[in-house]
Amino acid sequence: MLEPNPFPLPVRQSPVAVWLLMGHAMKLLLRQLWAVLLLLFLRPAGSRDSFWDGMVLVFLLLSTANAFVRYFFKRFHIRDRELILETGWLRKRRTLVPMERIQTVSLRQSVFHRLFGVMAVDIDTAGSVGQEFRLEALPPAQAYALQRYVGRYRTDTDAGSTEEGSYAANHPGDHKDLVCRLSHADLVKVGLSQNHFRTAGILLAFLAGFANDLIEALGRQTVGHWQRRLPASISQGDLSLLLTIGLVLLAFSMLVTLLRTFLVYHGLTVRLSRRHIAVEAGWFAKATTLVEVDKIQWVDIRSTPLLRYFGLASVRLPQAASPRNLRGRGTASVPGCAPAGQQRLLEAYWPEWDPAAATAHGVGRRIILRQFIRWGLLPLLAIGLPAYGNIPAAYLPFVVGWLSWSVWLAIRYHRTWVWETCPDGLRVSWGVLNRRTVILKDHKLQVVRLHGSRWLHRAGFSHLTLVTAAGSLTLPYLPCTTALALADHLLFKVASGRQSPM
Amino acid sequence: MTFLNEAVAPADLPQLASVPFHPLSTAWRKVELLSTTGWYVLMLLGAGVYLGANTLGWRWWMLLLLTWSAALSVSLWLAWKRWEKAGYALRTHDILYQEGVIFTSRTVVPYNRVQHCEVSRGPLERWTGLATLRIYTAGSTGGDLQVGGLPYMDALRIKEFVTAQAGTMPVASDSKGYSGTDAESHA
Repeated sequence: MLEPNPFPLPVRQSPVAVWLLMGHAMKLLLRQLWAVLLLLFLRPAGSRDSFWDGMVLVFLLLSTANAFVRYFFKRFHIRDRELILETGWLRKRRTLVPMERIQTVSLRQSVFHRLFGVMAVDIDTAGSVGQEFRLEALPPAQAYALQRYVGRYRTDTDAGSTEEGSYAANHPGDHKDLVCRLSHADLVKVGLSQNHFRTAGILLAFLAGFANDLIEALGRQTVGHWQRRLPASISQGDLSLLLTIGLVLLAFSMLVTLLRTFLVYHGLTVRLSRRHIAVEAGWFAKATTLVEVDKIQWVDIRSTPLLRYFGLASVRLPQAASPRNLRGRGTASVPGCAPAGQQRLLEAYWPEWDPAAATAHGVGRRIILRQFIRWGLLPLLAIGLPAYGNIPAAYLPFVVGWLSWSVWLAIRYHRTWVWETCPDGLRVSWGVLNRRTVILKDHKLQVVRLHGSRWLHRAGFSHLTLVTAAGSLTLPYLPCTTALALADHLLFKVASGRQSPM
Repeated sequence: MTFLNEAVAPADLPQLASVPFHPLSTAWRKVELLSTTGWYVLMLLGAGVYLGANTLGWRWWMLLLLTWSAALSVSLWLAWKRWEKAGYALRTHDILYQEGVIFTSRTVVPYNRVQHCEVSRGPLERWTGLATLRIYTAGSTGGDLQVGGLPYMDALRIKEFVTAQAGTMPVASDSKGYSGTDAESHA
C-alpha cells in the first residue's frame, strides 16, 4: 500500500534555504570572478576608490533580495501521481514531473546543511533538456519522506501488489543487506591508487595560470625583485631543482587526493535491498544516493595497477540521467570495492548472469596501429616538432626505447580487448594499465551505430557504438561482418524484448 | 527460475547489410550546393574587402583565386557525395540513417526506444519545400537521429508513422516500466 502523501498541499522549503541561496550566489561570484576580486584585494592602498566597494555592496543587496524572492516563491507538492514545483515571482513557472519518470532522488548535506540540520534534495528525470528539480533545504524527516514516497510509489505501481519486502529498506539507514563498507585502511588504499600525475599536472597548470595573474596584479617590478631573491638556480632552470619541485608537487597532490578521498568517501556504505542500492558517504558533506536496480544502465568496473594490487576496483552503476547529470549524483559509485562486493552488485543488476554461457571474441589487429600512433608517434612528434627535429644523438636510445615500449603496449592493448556475448547481454573488458570492464544488458540499448572512416571500411573493419541512456560504449575495429551480425542480433533483442530500458 | 526457449526463424532476423536506403531529395542537393557556393563567395568578398584590391599584386590575386576555386570544387564535390551517400530506411522495427563521405556512419533507432519526434523547417527549407526530421531517444550522447533534406510531406508522414509505431511497440507504451514479471509469464 502507498503511504499517505507527505506533501498534499503546496509548501515552502525550510527558511534556511535563504542563507543557502545567498551562499550559493557568493560561491558563484567567487568562482567566476576570483581573479577580479584578487586584483581588487591586491591593489595598492592609494588607488582604492569607493566605486568598487559600492559595486560589491550592490551585489550583496541584490543577491539577498534574490534569495528571499526565490525562497518565498518556490513551493512544491505532490498530487495525482505528479510532483509539482512552482517557482518565480514575475515569470511564474510550474513544473510537473510524473512520478514514474523520476530516475533518482538524491539527498545531500554540505557542512552548512549539517550546521542548520537540513538536507538538499535533487530529483533527476533523465529529460533530454536536463530540467533539474532541486530543493535547497528540507528538514531531514521531510527529505527522507519524499525520497521514500517516490521510491515506494514506483515500487508499488510497478509490482502491482504489496509483496513482502517490496521495499525492505524504506529508509536509507535501514537497508538490511550491507554489500560493502569502506574502512579507513580502504580509504587510504583508494586515495593512494588515484592518478597523482594527473592531479599534479592540474595543480601545475593551475599554479601557472595563477602565477600569470599574480605577476600582472603585482607588477613586473615586484616580481623581478622576488626573482632576484630566489636562488639563481631556479631562474636558470636547474634540472635537479626542477625534479625536486616535481616530486614535491607529486607528494602534495597525493596528500590532496588522500584528503579529498577522506572527505568524499568517509564511512561509505553500500546497501542492497530487493530493488534498490543505497550509497551513503561523506565526512562533512554527507550524500545519500538511492538507485533503483531496474534503472541501472550498466555496470562499469575500473581499476588502476595499484588498486588491483590492493585487491580492489572502482564500481560505477550509472542510471538513466539527463546529460548534465551524467557524471553526477544519479550514479551509484564505489571507489574501492572488493571482488565479493563487485559480484553482489553485478548480481543485483543481472541476476541471470552466467559466465559459463558467454562466448569470447576479440577486436581487429588494426587497433595496434592506432594505439601505436596515439601512444608512440604523437607524443614524440609533440616533443620533437618544437625542436624542429634537432634531437641530439644522446636522446636516440630514449626515442628507440619509447617506440618499442609503445609497440609492446599497443600489442598488449589489442590482446586485452575482449567482448563476450551472453544470452541477454554483453561483457566488454579492455586496458593494459588501467583496466575497464563494462557489463551491459541488451534491453538497455537505445541506439546502435556502425561507423568509421572509409579506409577502415575498405580494410573490412567498422566501429560499433552502443548508446544507452547513461552513455555509450564503442567496440572498435570489429570485422564488418561481425559488426553487422552483432548489430542485427542486438536490434533483434531490443525489438523482441518487452523489458523497459529505464 | 525463469526459463525461456523461444523459437526463432532465421529468415525473420533483421539484416543490416541488405537494407535498401531511400536517397534524400534532389532539392536538398541543390540547397547544399548553393549554400556552399554562397559561403565561398562571401569568404572571397570578405577577403577582398579586408585585403583591398590594390594592396596585393595580380600574381597574388591569381594565386588566391586558384586556391579559392580549388577549395570550392572540393567542397562542392564533398557536398554532392554527401547527398549521394546519405539515405534513410524504414523497417518493421526500426529506422535507419546513413551519412558521411570520409567518416561514414549508419545509425539504427528501434521504434520502441523513440521518446518523441519533431519536424522543423528553416527559411531555406521552407523555400525549397524541405524539412528536417528529428527523432529523440533517451540515449544520452549521440542518442538522437536527425534526417535533413526530406520533402515536407514525406517528413510529416514518416513522423506520423514512427510516432504510431513507437506507440504500438510493447516497451514504449508501457510507461510504468519493466515490472519484472513479463518474462515469467511465458514460462
